[in-house]
Amino acid sequence: MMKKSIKEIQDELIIEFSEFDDWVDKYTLIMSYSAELEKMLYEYKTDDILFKDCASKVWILIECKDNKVCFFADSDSMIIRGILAILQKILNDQDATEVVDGDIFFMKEIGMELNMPIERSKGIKSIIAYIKNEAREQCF
Amino acid sequence: MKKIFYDYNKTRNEFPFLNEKIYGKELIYFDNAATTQKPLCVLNAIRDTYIKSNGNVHRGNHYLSNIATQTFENARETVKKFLNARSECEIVFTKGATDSINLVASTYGRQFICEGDDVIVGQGEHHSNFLPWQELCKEKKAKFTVLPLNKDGTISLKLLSQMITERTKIVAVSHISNVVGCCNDIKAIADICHSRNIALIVDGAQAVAHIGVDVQKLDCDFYCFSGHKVYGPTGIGVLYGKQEILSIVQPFEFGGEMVDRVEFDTSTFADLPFRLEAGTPNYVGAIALAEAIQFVERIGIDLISEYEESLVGYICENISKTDGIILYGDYNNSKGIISFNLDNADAFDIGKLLDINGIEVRAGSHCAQPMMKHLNVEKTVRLSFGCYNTVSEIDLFLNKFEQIAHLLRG
Repeated sequence: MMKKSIKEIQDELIIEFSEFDDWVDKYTLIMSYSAELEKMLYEYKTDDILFKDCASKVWILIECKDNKVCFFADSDSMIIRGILAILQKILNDQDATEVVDGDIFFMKEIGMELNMPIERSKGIKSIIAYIKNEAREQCF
Repeated sequence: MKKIFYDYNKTRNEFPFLNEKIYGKELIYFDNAATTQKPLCVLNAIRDTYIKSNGNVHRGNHYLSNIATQTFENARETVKKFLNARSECEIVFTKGATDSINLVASTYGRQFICEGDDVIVGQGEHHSNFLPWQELCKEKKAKFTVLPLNKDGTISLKLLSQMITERTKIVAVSHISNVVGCCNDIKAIADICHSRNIALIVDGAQAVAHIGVDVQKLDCDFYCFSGHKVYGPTGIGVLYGKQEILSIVQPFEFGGEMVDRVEFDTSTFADLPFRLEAGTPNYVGAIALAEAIQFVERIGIDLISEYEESLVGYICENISKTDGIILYGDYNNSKGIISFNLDNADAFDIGKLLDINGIEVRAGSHCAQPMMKHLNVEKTVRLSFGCYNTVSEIDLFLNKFEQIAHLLRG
């Protein structure tokens, strides 16, 4: 089956989140996604892949195979792990061109961008920019 | 829990903010170490001053200026009594505790620290009582010594005595830690400093709303605090300095109000405290701060202190039952603050999950990264109480926290 587009996946996520009014439910949903994020083994969590611009610790490893982007990530924050899992759902196995050009709007649309502390919100934006940049460098 | 006769409902009625809701939920405000909410008397003082008696202080001879000047100087007297300073000229109004410490570093520090001298700073300091000294030492090529702490976060008197050298000129410590709420023995520290002819500056930002402060008994050379942490407005703070020390301090900001005579070749400056208050002071802030102090005095600082200690005791007794909880500091010596972590959970996650439940706490390094090193963590969750917090708020917190802990364990 063909992978859904970056926009289609985000549209579905927005519908999923729109079922909840209470932020407690929205965050519970985000954290439930964290179960889908494979835990990175301790020995892989080196400073080389430690992402510097985030308020919590985040490790990211990005690969490009057959012009498709695949990233692995982990964090010591369950909320961030949930967001990383959602980003994986959106971006992994997408064509590198789609990843580089794709608009990642779900955070803004579900209101998370404003709800998060500014340093975290900036951190997520930096992670997305980093993935796009690595996709550009590794795949093209 | 010890029975304390304190009508907290009467206090709460003074704070309109406490009726606000966030995310549609009842607000519980446990971030008083960051800033406190304001009682009606403070809000009214700001409004009334602007509406009824707004004239620039110490300048005009018109009615409004006179009224504003009188009220402003009455505010100074209120602060003087609050700290039990000897004279009003020992009370300098600043923008806040950070501004006060920078003022001392930029005046007394620059005047008396020379190359090769030594400044000792406690490891538990807020960055505002750490960085001004670090920068001063860089500028003056002086030694910047960070004093390790006792396990509970207090200053070790023994270590302080050992680390003082012939070249030590200034010691800077906090009265109460903004991370774990521990209280330093300022009088004992002052005795050590003065026996070696060293000036002691005390950051009282976390103290004045929680314990009685008597600068004569403490015998420190400088003491400072921020208005907004004692139910007053932002943008106003206090520097207390012993008169004999302030009188030898040269002004470092120049402009209106601080001058005596201005001539083409040289100028002379006003007496204390005005020569350290260049420009139009935040007189409205000072007037409102005096209201805040009077509000605290109406309740009684000893009663507030006892009440907040009981809140800390209650929460510690209960939260310590949570699996995986790590409490920092010693809660028998905590003045209204607790810091903790939960297993391997991220402190930011706990803070955010409490926030969306209507409970406002602080998560992070609390502008005290050296203290985080002492605790061997990167961040903590901090709850800090004020005179309007209650046991039932703590019960609500404990209930939500248990749910959050369960969620974060997966």
